[in-house]
Amino acid sequence: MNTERGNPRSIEILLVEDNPGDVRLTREAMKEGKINNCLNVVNDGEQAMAYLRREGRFADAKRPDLILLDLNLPRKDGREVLAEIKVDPELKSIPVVVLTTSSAEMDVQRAYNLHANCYITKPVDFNQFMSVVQQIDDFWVNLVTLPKR
Amino acid sequence: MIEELSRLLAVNGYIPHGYCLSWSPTLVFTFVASDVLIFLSYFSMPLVLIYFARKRKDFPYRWLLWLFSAFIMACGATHLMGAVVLWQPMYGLDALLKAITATISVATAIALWPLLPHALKLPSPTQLRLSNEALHHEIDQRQKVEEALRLANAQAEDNLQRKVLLLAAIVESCNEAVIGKDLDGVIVSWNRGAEKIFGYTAQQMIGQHATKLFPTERQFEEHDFLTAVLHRESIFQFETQRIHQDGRLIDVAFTVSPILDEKAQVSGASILASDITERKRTQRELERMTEQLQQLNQTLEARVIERTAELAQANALLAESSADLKRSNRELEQFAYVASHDLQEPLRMVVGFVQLLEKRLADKVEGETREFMGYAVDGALRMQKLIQDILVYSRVSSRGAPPATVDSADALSEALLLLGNKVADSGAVVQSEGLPVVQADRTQLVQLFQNLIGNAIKFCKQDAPKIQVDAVRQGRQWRFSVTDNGIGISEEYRERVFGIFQRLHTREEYEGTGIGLAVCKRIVERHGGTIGVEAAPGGGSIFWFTLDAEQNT
Repeated sequence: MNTERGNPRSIEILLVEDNPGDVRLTREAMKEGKINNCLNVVNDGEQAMAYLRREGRFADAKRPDLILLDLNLPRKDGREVLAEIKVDPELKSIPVVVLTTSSAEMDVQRAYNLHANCYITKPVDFNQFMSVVQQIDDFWVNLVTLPKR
Repeated sequence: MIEELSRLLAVNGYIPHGYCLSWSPTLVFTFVASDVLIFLSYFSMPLVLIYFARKRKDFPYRWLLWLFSAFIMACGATHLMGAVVLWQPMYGLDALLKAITATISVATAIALWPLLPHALKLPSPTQLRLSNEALHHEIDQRQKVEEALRLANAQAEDNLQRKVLLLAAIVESCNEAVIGKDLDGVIVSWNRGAEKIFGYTAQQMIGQHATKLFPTERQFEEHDFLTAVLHRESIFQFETQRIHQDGRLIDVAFTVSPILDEKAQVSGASILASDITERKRTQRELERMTEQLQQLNQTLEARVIERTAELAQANALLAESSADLKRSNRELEQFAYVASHDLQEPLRMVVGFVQLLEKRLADKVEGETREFMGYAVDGALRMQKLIQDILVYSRVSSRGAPPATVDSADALSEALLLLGNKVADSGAVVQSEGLPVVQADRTQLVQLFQNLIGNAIKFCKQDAPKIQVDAVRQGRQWRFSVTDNGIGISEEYRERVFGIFQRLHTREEYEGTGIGLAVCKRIVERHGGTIGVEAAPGGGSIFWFTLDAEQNT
């Protein structure tokens, strides 16, 4: 879409996802949708926080414009990550899209209580998933105005 | 002396007195007649006097009567002699008689003088009459008084007799025994009540010793009674036993009191006795029952304690199982979460990558490969639907809210709203009437209506679905029915349709996993109701279920 509009903007996206299959599907979906963003991936919550705070091997990491956060993660799960981000004055302005398999009401409620910016359940059907990824990009990259880094 | 007397009586030498009268017949006759009449009169008088004396023995001067008699007779005799001497010149005898008469006359005259004061004292006839009258009056009065007295006496006696009779009648008619006995314990009076109570007649008992009625072990009581009575004490309602004439023991209550004679001395004892056999029997029965009741109570208490212990144990078990239930509910929740998240992730991988392959190899994939890939994706998608349905099913109990007061008409409206286009597209007409307020989990009641009406729409025939929702009261519950004009359900499947994932049609005919009615059954049963299906008159089905009515109705 972006390319079609001839106004491709590139933003920094941090995907926090432990399942490599999911990571790959997301990448493929972006590829299929010809989305030209920079997708950085971490596999658990601790890595996610380290990345955001540029700790250890993430010292040179770029501050992301958008975070795609899975909820069920090893070591530190997505809810803790979300809570930490949203109380951190440095980080709380970064939009967080919870992207998870769970459609549990409890998870939805909790995510919004922790100030998630939106909550999306991953559809099983690949075409629908592609559409979701496409719409995320369309919305957050093209439609909304994000804060300056 | 005799010579003297004969001389005196000699008649020789004198002439008869008639000569003096020259025998004048008139004179002679007059003399003789007078003298004889005088003589007879005089001699009759003493007879009167003597008769008087004999009759009036109270006359104080009887000797005077005798004297008078002698005096009169002497006078009479002289008069007789007067007649005799007219012819016989017995002057000597005449003289003698006169002398005698003179003597008696003098004596009488003398005797009369001292008598005079006494005679004067004698009451005169008038006085006598007056006093007699007074006396009569007095007698009259006395007689009157006596009569009154006699009447009063008779009346008093009559009254007394009546009173005695009344008392006797009272004593006789009394149902209680009224017995009199002397100080030796010998029975002197025995009324009908006593006859009734003890069976002996008065004839049999009067003169008998009272102890005849006493059982051997109670003989001592007589001594106690008599001692009390001699001390002028009464014994009230003393309960004991006596032997009836027929030999059986009877329970009696005695009141024993001393009887006092006119000098206020104890002369015997009065005994009032009542038969309390029945009362005693009732009392014993009551005691027995009370005892039984106490025993029962004790048993009951023991049972209560036992049951309480059992209940406590059961409670503990229940608490434990409740905790178990909570744990298992939590586990189920966990399972549901795992199912919704962790089971779906692999499915997404399968579906996602097969579809990705399909896309990437679009040019190279032949028809058969594409078909196989289609089955793989379809299977995975169905798997996902099944997982979601199991979640819905499990959430009926794990996510259920406690029943509250719900207007079922509102719940139906909400269900129709949720069905949305399905109703409109099918042209279904849903009618409802008199839907009540019930006790239910509102969300689940909505889901129940949604599933049943959804089914009615889904399994329709060519015609537009017509759905009728009604409710009738059945005791504490309401029986709802959802009647459709759809394809109906054969009798043999009517049980099976409520099973989980039970389907009567292929997916090509009607979509769905077969969870809807299983969820309905689970919802109804969670509310303590029952659900079933029967054939509707014009084909179609009637799905019915029961729910508790509102608590206060």
